Amino acid sequence: MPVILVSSDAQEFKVDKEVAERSILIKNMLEDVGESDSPIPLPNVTAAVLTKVIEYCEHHRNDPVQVPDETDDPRKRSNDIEEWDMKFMQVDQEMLFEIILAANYLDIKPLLDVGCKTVANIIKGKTPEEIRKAFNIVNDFTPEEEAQIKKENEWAEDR
Amino acid sequence: MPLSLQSPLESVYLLLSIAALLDKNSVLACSRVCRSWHALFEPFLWHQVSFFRYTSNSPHPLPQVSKRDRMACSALNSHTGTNDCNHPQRRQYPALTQIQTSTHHICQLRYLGGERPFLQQLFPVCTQLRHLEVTVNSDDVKQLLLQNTATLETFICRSDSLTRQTQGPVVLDKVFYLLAEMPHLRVLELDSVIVSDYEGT
Repeated sequence: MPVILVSSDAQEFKVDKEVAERSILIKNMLEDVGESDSPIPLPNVTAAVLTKVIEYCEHHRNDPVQVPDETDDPRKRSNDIEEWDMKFMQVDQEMLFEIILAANYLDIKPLLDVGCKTVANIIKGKTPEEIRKAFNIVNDFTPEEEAQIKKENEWAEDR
Repeated sequence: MPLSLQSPLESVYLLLSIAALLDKNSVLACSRVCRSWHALFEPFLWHQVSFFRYTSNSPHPLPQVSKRDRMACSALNSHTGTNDCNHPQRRQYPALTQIQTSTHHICQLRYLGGERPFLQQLFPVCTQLRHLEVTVNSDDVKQLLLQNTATLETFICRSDSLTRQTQGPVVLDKVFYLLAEMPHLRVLELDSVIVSDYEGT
């Protein structure tokens, strides 16, 4: 049975229930409402972003439900993005950020993970100045503070 | 999630998720980006900390001492007054005050070959340890175990040759009842010296 999702800009998307339920938010909504074919409004997600999110959910419709494993060290997993996901995430930064926000809002954990990994990979190997540039962040340290912090945390550097 | 959120970088939750994926050098770079990032990323530098006693002219250097561990060891040496000849030029250790204000962030602590008073002085506020690896055995270790029964997953107690020389054999006494209380303890490594010493007492 298909489910109708409505983006913030009032576009309707007809998707399989199985696909829509990749989103825990939608899954819970459907469970609460019971059998109903009324459209589900998603006021936080634009049509452009929803298109991408649905594409992801379609591709991963048969994935087993992720079991959170406490022993899993996130550091060790940071680079292992599967090929399809990697390609899927090759979008401009604005879209990348919107996908992450949508995944967070819609509660699609695997998509959120892939998004965070992608951002982490952008950060890796960059200097503070390069990071500021990449994300358009203003350096609000005074030069004295900057020097102080650099000195204080020098011990943590892996050489 | 507030509707006004424009970027995942405005969300503390999402930034923390990203921080957890980064290696130490990247976390370090992030902590130097701006004030809010500094506040958020700096604790991650402390999640895993190793302290080693090690000198390049030591007759029994500890095995498997990596470059970073050597830096941490010089922290130990500098605070305990031992000379370290490895990198005399560079400052490679956190200041004592820094250690004291940040120890509560430590989740993984390796403290090998160190001296008792140092441990006692520095780690009274470690209360979220998940991984503890020590070569010293004293009431401090017992205290650390006691403080972290709820969170500890790994406890490794070794007796390295250096410790044996300076402190005699490591005796792990009366802590098994504590270990039995730990709901998450999965890894327990006690080397033969400790076990036999325990059985002998």
